[in-house]
Amino acid sequence: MNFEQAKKLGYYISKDYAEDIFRLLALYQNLAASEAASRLNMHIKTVQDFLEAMAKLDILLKEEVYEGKRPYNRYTLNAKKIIMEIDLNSLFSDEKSDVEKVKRIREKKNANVRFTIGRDNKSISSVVIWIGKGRKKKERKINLTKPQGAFLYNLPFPMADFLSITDIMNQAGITDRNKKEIEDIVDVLIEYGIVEVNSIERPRN
Amino acid sequence: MYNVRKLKTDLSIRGFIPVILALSVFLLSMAFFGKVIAFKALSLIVFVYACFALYSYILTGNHWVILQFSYLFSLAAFIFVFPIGTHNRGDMLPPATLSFFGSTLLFFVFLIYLFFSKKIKVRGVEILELAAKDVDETSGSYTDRPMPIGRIEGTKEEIKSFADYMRKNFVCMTYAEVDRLLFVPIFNGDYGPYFNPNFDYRARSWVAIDFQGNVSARISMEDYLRYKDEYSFDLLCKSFGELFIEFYDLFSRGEGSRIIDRMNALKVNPFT
Repeated sequence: MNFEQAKKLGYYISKDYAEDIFRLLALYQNLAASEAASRLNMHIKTVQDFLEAMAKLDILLKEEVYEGKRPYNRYTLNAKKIIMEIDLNSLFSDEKSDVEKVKRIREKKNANVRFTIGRDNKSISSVVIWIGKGRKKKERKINLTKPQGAFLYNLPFPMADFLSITDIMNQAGITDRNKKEIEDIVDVLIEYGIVEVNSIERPRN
Repeated sequence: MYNVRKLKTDLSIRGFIPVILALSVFLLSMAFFGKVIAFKALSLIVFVYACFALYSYILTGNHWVILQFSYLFSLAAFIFVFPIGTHNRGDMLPPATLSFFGSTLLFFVFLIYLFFSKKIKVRGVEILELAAKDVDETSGSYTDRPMPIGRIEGTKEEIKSFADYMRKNFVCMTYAEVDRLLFVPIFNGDYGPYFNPNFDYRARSWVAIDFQGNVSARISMEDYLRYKDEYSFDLLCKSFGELFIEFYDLFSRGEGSRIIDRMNALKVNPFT
């Protein structure tokens, strides 16, 4: 199950009427939205949306039937257990490729950012990014972890030579253990136009 | 040796503020209160300047400043004791007046020597010139962040001695923090570093050396704009920090006078 499906399932399961509808589905062989709505004294649209969502998640089977000339759907339980399992593997980077893309970065010139120096004077404690122009200008403050702060303290200046994330980490004395959070903050800063990237490809060691 | 100047010509009149202030008070007093009060007011102002000079001696420990204090004190005394309004042309000046006149003249001669030998010259201009010496031009590269430069080998006491030396020779002012010292270049007309207890030195250009020997540097936008052209900021900042590492190396080898020699070799205008 991916995050989108889990979001939908969680949304509907959390409703007060969810258990009631499932009880009806368990009792009846199959159920139409109008029957469930009248039985539970609910609005038909609400029940309809619920049943449709469950059908999309394969928890229910949907069958189109005709009563006279009007088609409508009947729903049957397809499972006796609902298991919400989210695979987080997709969030990890793909390390199977033979070639790795090395991001080399530096601070972008004229970036709308203010770096606040930490109390140790050897790291950045937070960055304040200004988004928008004129009256619509908004301020976004990001507090940094210690490794992130040390990393940004060593970020190459605008127009300086690009350095890879690994090189900057080595310079800052940051171990590989913190690499994921460093890459995360770099991605955020790239997104806000604070950092510019020059990627190169090289064979993976 | 002709040096191509990388800094803009300093047309600031900040260095003349004390003179302008003294003259203004003198003329206003003359207009409203007459000759006698005007000269007494002038004497008082010059005496206050003498106190400032004494205070800067206490701050820096530079013995030459005592000469500056002596000159100002003597001048203040001379103006104060001069018999304004009671002296007739042709009369002999009172002995006190003559003495202070003589001492003022003597100290003034010493002051001319100090001025042209740059013994009490602030060295902000020289530092920025040396920092930009081998740096290329580029555009849009300024950032407010400090830059980690490198490390020096030295104990806390050695670093403090170095700071004392730099302060004493007016190379820069130094400020102590919990675990580091900041070296802040000072320019002509900068009164804040000496006389403002709330002077915000962190907003200025500085080189920091912590007691583990880590060196970092920062150049303020104000100082970056002193340059005629836009220089590659990362190289400029690096050069600025490395300049102080070089100064420290010279000092730790007992060759501190070479720091002064390097700055004097630039032959910068003594008025800057």
